Amino acid sequence: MQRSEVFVRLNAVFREVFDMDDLTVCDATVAADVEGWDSLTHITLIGAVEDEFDVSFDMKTVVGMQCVGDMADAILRELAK
Amino acid sequence: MSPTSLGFILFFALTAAVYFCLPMRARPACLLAASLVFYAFAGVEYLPFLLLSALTSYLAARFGGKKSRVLAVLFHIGLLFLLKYFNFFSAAAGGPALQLIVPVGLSFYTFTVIGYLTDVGRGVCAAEKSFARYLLFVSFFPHILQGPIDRYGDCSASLFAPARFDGERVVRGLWRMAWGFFEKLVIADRLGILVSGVWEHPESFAGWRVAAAVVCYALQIYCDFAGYMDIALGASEIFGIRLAENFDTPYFSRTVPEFWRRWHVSLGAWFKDYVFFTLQRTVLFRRMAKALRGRGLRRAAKQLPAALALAAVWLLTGLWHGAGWNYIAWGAYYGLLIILSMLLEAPLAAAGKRLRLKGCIWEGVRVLRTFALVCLGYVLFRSASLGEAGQVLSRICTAPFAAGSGFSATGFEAADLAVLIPALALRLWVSLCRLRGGDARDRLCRLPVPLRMALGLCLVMSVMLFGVWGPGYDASSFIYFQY
Repeated sequence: MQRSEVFVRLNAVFREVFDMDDLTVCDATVAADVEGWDSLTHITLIGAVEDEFDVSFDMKTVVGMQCVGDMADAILRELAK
Repeated sequence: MSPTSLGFILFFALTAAVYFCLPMRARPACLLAASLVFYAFAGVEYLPFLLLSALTSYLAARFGGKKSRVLAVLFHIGLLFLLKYFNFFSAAAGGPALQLIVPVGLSFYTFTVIGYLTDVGRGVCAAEKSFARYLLFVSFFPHILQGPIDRYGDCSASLFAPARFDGERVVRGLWRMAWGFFEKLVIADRLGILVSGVWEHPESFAGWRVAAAVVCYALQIYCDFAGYMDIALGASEIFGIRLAENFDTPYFSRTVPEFWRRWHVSLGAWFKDYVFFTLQRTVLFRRMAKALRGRGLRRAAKQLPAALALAAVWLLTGLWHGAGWNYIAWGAYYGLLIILSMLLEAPLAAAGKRLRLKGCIWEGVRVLRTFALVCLGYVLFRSASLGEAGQVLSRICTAPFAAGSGFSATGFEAADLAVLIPALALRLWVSLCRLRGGDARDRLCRLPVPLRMALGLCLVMSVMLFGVWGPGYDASSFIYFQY
């Protein structure tokens, strides 16, 4: 899967989780850029991303995600396994 | 040895003098020896528990695999349950009580080692190779009794690095320690006179006086706990060690969840990272969220697992503070508030936009509302039982302006009020400096040296003249020592 395709599907997940139809995320997007992205919704988001891509992250990966770019990297790593 | 005792001041001065006289490589060993001596002063009989806890967690993280780490976590939870909670649950079930030792700081250092084991398992930090260094991390004397609950990955670098003597840093550390003494001895303990008196006989006071005592308790517990933190963090700073900050002007929070991100920060972060996240990542919770999403229930998929995890977190937070129904009720109260806050966040924000509720006045109303909710929680927290909490609340609600005793009946005199008003004004100024993103010490450091020295002397003299101590004073009465 190409990184661009990952972002297309990630955008759909973000829009669903945060109820924002016009939300677009990029590599540099961090929690502070998205209204409602706090520690409570972070885990919900991770679960939705895992379902979308049919992958499973370990806790080290989950707590190490600093931005959406890290999330995309983690997805591509899991898909390559 | 309480941090506000003369014994502690002498112990700390001696430790600092020896530390800076020793060669660099021997300095961490000096801190370890001082920490073990400090803990032994709290009770030699507690020391084996601390050593057992440190040794088992060290071995499991260093030499064991996932199974060993999980067993070590379960062992620590089991030990905490046995020592702190067995008698409570046994009594609730009509069972026998055991004669058990409850080591001071047990809840704090148990959480520290569980956090370490979990972080090693998650790959967040590597297992420490040296037992002596690990023991220093667990037993470091400024955080062993009352926290903060530090993360190994955050504090190990400064903890194990021997610090050179730095006059500016030492002075800043001493300023912070003196401020901690001021908060504890001048403000918290003076407010404590009024609070204890009213809580003993709430029926003797008009409801508004009881409500005022609840507000005073909010200020007392803050100055008590934050005062300890300032002493602990100031002492650490002198050795060049950075511990986690535990407070961020919590009474200026606009919502209850925000309050808990700014009050006892290290405990809230611990529960979030090690309980909330862990629960949410279990197969059960993930299946629940997936099933709800699969049925098109997007909002429920987001909120139900989070609400259940929050309920568990807050019941445990209540229990962590003490084995009593009032603490469980207090935890349930916050769990309910935070779940409601999560569920109603979107509709309330939309309503606020429609009503154009914004600006300083609206923000002030939100801060006052949050403070009132926190005070309501303190009624449960301060009371020895649910019955006592009921008495306090009932007096406030049913007899707000009834005739009754004045505050002087508690031993709180006009002179105490005269000391408290400027002291609280100073406390407010420090909080406002912090709210503006600064530190009151930065402002002080910009002053000319003679003026700085005079102010420092004034602070120390204030503690000596206006602090609540002397005959009958119990130096060990920090509120959070019991946890």
